[in-house]
Amino acid sequence: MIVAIIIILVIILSVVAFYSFANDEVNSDETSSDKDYIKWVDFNVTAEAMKLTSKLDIESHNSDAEVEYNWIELLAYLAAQNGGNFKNFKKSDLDNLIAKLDSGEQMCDLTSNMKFYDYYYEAYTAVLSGFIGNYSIEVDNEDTSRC
Amino acid sequence: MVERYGLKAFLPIAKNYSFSHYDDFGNSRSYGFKRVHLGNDLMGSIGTPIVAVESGVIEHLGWNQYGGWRIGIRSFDGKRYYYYAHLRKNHPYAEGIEEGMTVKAGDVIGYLGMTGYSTKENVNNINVPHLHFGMQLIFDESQVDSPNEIWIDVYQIIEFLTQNRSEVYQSNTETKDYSRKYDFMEEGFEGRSLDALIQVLFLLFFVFFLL
Repeated sequence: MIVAIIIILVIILSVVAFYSFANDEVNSDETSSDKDYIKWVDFNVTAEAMKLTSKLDIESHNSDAEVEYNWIELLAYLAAQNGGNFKNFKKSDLDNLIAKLDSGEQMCDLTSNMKFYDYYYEAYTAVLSGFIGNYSIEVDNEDTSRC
Repeated sequence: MVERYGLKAFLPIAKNYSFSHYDDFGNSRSYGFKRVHLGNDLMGSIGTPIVAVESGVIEHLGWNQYGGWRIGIRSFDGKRYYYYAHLRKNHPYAEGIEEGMTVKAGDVIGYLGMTGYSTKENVNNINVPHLHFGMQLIFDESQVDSPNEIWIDVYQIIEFLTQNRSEVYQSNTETKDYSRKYDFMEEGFEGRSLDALIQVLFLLFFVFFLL
């Protein structure tokens, strides 16, 4: 009886695994045949712009701020304005954007008429999406006692 | 362990080790064929521990005539391929590093050196010891190994990451290998481990069924 149950369980799991792998293959076929993907990226965001926007992102997530900023959205907005060239980046451009977001305006509305916002958002997401987020890290005892 | 939200990518040069660099992306190179430099060279001392900038899976590890002893790591979302080249002669990689394994951001993966520019393995043909660090973007798998590869200028990214460096210590006095001082964990890494466990369980069921 137990052997029969195990065999049935194995068959069910095998079928599930088969369809899981089969779906993966279908998805990969779709990906390779779909040619609507980004072909080129010039990443010209300066360290200063990354530092300022990442600070806003991190501090807004670690506080009770009403508006949580996403540094990739902020950078993509600035890039859509300056054509991806941050050589002449001014902090005031970022301050103006933050003021709009703080007043309740939504990023989707602010960027609705920006032709290249989606491109920059996708390109910068590819570059930076693994840089900021939740993590756990070991700390010295003296560090934990401070909390 | 404490939970945090913040910068979780690390500079590839371990904490307390000096380096210098300038924006050399696009400079001309002539070894093998005329081409341009698709990364950023971080000049430092031979043996400087090199750490993974981001967590991911080691896709390539071994000798390449251009990169010498090198490691290529793909991010979990598949969009980024990190390339670390010219690692140390004789002892290029950190203890236990293998192709196919998963590494965490900040893990020691190898040691700075000057190997490369040779079809013969384990040869120091680079003039100045340095880490060649590069990042390739992949929006479609057809871009992985093709004339349409997208390599970006990482100079500003290196500047940005100088604020987050992984501290290391000599964890094996016999092999003189180094390890990270502070352990680290992130969401994607845990999920990856769970996926691997499920795959192993499936495999065991298949084997059992075949028997």
